[in-house]
Amino acid sequence: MSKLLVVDDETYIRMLYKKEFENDGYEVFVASDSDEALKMMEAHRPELVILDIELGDESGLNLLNRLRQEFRGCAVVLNSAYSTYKSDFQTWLADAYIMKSSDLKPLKNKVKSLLAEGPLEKRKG
Amino acid sequence: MMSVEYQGQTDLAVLDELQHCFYLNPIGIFMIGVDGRLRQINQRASRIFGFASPEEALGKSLSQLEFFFSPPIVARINQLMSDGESFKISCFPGTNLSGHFAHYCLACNRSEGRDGLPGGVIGIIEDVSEQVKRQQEFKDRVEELSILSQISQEVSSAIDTEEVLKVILTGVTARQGLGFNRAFLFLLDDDSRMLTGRLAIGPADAAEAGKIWSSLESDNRSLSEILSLYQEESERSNHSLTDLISGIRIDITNGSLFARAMQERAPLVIELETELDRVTARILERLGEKEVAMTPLVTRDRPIGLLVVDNAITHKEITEHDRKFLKLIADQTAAAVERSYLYRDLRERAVELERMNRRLAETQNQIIEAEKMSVIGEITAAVAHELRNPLTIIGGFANLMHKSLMPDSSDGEYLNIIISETQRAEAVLTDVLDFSKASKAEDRRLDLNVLVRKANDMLSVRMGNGRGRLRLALSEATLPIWGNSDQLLHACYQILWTLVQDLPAEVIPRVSTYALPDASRLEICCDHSPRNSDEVEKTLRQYFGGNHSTKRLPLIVSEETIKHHGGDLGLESNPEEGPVLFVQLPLHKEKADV
Repeated sequence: MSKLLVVDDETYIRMLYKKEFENDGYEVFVASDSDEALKMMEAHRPELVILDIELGDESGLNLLNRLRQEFRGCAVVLNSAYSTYKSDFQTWLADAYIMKSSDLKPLKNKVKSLLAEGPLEKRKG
Repeated sequence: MMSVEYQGQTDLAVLDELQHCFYLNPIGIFMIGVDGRLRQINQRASRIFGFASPEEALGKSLSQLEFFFSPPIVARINQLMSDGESFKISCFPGTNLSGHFAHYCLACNRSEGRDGLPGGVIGIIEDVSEQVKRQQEFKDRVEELSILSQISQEVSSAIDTEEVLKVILTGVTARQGLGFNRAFLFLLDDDSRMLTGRLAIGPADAAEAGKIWSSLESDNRSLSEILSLYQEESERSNHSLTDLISGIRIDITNGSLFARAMQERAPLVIELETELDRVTARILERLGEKEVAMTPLVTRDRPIGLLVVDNAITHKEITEHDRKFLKLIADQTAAAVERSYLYRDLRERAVELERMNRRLAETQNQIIEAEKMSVIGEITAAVAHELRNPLTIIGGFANLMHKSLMPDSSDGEYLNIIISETQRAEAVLTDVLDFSKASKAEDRRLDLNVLVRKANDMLSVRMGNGRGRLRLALSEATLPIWGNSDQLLHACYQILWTLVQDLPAEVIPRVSTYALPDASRLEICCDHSPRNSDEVEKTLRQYFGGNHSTKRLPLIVSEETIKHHGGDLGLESNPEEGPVLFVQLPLHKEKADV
């Protein structure tokens, strides 16, 4: 069973994603900020992180940097209500950028395909 | 003869002395007897009349003196014989027996004999040519000063360079003043350092000179009257003297006499015997004169032009006095020209300042508008982002609930409504976010046709399968407009998308573009059947009929975008095509980069 970590400051988003992805057979952990997310990473070593960019007062992009440095094999999907971050080169570190939507199919499809590709080392070939 | 005794001298001795005084008196004295013949005449008088000696003159009758005395003067003398009324003629012209012309003064009295009867006429005559000459010179100087004063007055009120130049040149050629026949003005072009023929005043030929000068001589005209006369004459004439020098360009470093006068900043006279360089010879040939005087116009130690004069009609010699006076005029000309240049610069700067103020005001308005649009963009972006999370949650949970429902549950329909409406709201947010992103682009020159084509491409992609829903009839010519390409593209796209979404499927909108004198125009009309014409009209009027409350948010933003770019959007009725939706944007006329 693949492990996912959802990092979002919105309680209901975390709740929705947890329910949806658990229904799809994933083991889902949730975190509302960077500190909690890093603890979850250490504790559960998820294979993929769904990361919101605007995490209250902090930026999800800083967390993305740390994930890339400290958990290199983990895939990261940026999930934001803002399309403007697409032009921020820091977001290029992520494996995918999916806009938030009530239709979760695009997000689910991306998660599925990334996990099928395997860890980062394998994906980079 | 009367008996005379004076201080013991005998009569005859005194008489001899008197006679000696009479003959050698420096004033011409003569006596005409009652018979009208010269009875006495001294040496001076006989010389004035042109006789070799008094003896040759004695006995000559008045009629024999008519070569000298005109008939009216002879008549006056005869009259004096009879009525005894003395007379004096201060100045009259006369030519004596030896052909010498001069001006004379004549005073006559009647003498009486011992018997008290008229003894004849005693006349005193004197050559006053020198005084007349002096008087004429004095008059000339007064007139010169008068012209100078008038020039001064005229140029002090003239601020236009052309007007100043005309006044000066007319003053130079005014006959009562300097009286040069023609005057030519060359001004120095600061950039090219070339003297350029600018203006000439004077008669084109002898016939025109005769006409103008005789008119001027008839009465004492002021400079402004002379100026008008020259103006009228030059308008009547097909030949303009200025044409003679227009196109002449003299390099002031080429060593010609013209260049030398400029370099040395000193007056120069070219006479027949002056050795000419090639450039000077060619210019004089063009002017048709071999003797000219020129003086540079120098102001603040800087030569600004050259004043050239000649006497091509009268061939009168240019005297030293003329040259000095010309220099005086040139100094005044230089000051006047310099002042007119300063005024011109001042006027240009005032115009430029006014233009800059206008631009500043326009820019300020644009900044306010841009800030307004920017604020709208920021607000819409913020609202859109704030709404996206709740919509994701609402729609997401609705989806989740829908999946967990029993197939026959009646709640499924309501959940479907929540899901579809959430998706519609998300689509609106996407459009609004596109606008807020667009507001960050720079303004530049655009082609309305290119925008329409791009919007059509976007529409095809959104509708899927590249299916076109528009018929494009775009003008072949470029339709230049100025603005934010992203914003305008977004506006075009939103307008077309709104139409395509809500019009009946069988209705194909026709999009045409064309240029108006001051605008680029886009028109959208719908080919529709009578069956659905009401529906088409309702759709168009609903969104574009002017009522904001019925519009969708992206369409309101589109309309504001068009207006922000100085354009207009609206609905017009066309008897043949029904309602026509138009978008009009100001034509961009500058040749900026595309």
